[in-house]
Amino acid sequence: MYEWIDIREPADFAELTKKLDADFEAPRVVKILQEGINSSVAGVLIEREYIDKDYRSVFYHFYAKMGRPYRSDCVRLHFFDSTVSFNAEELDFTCTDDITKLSDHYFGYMVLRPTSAVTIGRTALSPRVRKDALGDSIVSVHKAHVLGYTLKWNAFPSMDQHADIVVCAHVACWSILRHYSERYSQHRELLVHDIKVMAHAFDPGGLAPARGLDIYQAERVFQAAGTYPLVITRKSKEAPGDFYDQLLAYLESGFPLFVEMLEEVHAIVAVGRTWQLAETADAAPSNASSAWGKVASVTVIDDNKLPYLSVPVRDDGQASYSADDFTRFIVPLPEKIFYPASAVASYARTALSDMLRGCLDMPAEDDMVVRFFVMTIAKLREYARKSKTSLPKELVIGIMQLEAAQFVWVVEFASNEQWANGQVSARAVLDASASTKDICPTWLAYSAKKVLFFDRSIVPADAKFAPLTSAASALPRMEQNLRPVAS
Amino acid sequence: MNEALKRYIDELPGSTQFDPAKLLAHYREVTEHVLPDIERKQREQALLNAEYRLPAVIRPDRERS
Repeated sequence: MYEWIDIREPADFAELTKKLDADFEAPRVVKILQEGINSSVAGVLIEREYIDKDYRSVFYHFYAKMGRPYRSDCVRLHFFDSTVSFNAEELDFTCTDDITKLSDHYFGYMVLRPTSAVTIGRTALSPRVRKDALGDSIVSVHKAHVLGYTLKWNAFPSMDQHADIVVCAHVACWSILRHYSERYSQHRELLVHDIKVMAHAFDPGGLAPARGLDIYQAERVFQAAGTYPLVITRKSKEAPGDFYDQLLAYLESGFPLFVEMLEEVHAIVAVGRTWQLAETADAAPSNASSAWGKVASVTVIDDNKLPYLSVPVRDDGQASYSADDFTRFIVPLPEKIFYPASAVASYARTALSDMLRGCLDMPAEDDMVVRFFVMTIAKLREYARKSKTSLPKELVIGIMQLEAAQFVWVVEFASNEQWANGQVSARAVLDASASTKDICPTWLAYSAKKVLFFDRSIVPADAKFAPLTSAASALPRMEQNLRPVAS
Repeated sequence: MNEALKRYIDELPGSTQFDPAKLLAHYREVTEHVLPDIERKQREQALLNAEYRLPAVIRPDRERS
């Protein structure tokens, strides 16, 4: 039932073709692993007769009804680093490190379905093993029970589309919703078959789901799953407006995005981004005040590839598509975010920055990068607590006492030079539950030496200004919702 | 703003009322420019989304009108 393969070089993955039945399409899996997995992986444990809940959900409703007998069991591949080996006689691991730290040497798993084509099923792989993975990504803690050990690691869920019963759009919805159920206790786990049914007002049955979904059926899936999806459409490639600012803002808020590429007839999930290196940054980005101008690539989950694929912002002649091909996206929001990213973009770049320029240390108007993202007030307080040595004491105490909504928008203003150094001039905290008619959605704004608190309990809001006791001239850029893929 | 924070800010050395004229100018800017811009963008986005919702067959009629 269990078998181990040592991986000294990519060619060693080919052992899988000898060890797996033809139903699992090992040659294709081997090629994908050889091309996409880096040298961190030094061993693979094959777990046979694995019962996979997602495959079973489709098996019961589709494959079991077919004339050709399909197996009901799967194979699960577990990936380990070079400190781990396998004792086949005792069915136990050995580890040169403390065995209680086995999780530190585990990179996740990949389920193989016995469907003979597109067999990669539920996969939760650490971004650390993905060749060419860059930047920062949304991940959550996953858990696996293997040979009596409970292993934990960070990953974002992915799988191949079945093609004959569910397609890329179903899989994109599944990936996002499985991430939600792993990350947030209020979201229940939904299996592949559940997603297929949720896209329609009725169970369409037969092969109808394989004809694909339109974006409003995907929106329906997210609604039925208890999220509050927002659909954002790009006007045109030539005039995208603030489409990409919104995309970046929600992505940096830690919300995975269902992305439609109309011309490619494809749907993927955006889960991360890579900033441009300072020396390669555009000298004159198309929108000088947009943090999108600082993005080099978007990290995506594409069901045709291993997870954490880096997609360039613009066509580089090598990638099969770029962010230029994104036509629409859905962000599955929690309920209480009423102030959209498009409103933040309008307010932050004009009235807010103009007002703050008069009282805080702000970058010059023609040298300003604006970045914004959502976080919970609890996370903001956690950040303030952890940064109490670098943030002025008055500010930390102020943030702890702030009467705010559950979600806040954080807006950061930086000069290009500060941006290159990972710093910002000033930061504002807005009410993410504000009405779009609110003339003062701001709770507070601060730079290294000054703070402005708004009293929004009176209309129009009043504001109080106070100096801060800080030796620093700038603030560190906040990186809270995404995790570096290399960590 | 809660009383505890209000008291805390008032007691901070050097704390002052923010310039009421600047605040008023800010609110005027928000009312006259930002809110209409937000509303315009929301309307545009709704139209863009709605356009995709329309079945292709009715597009020629729309173009004629």
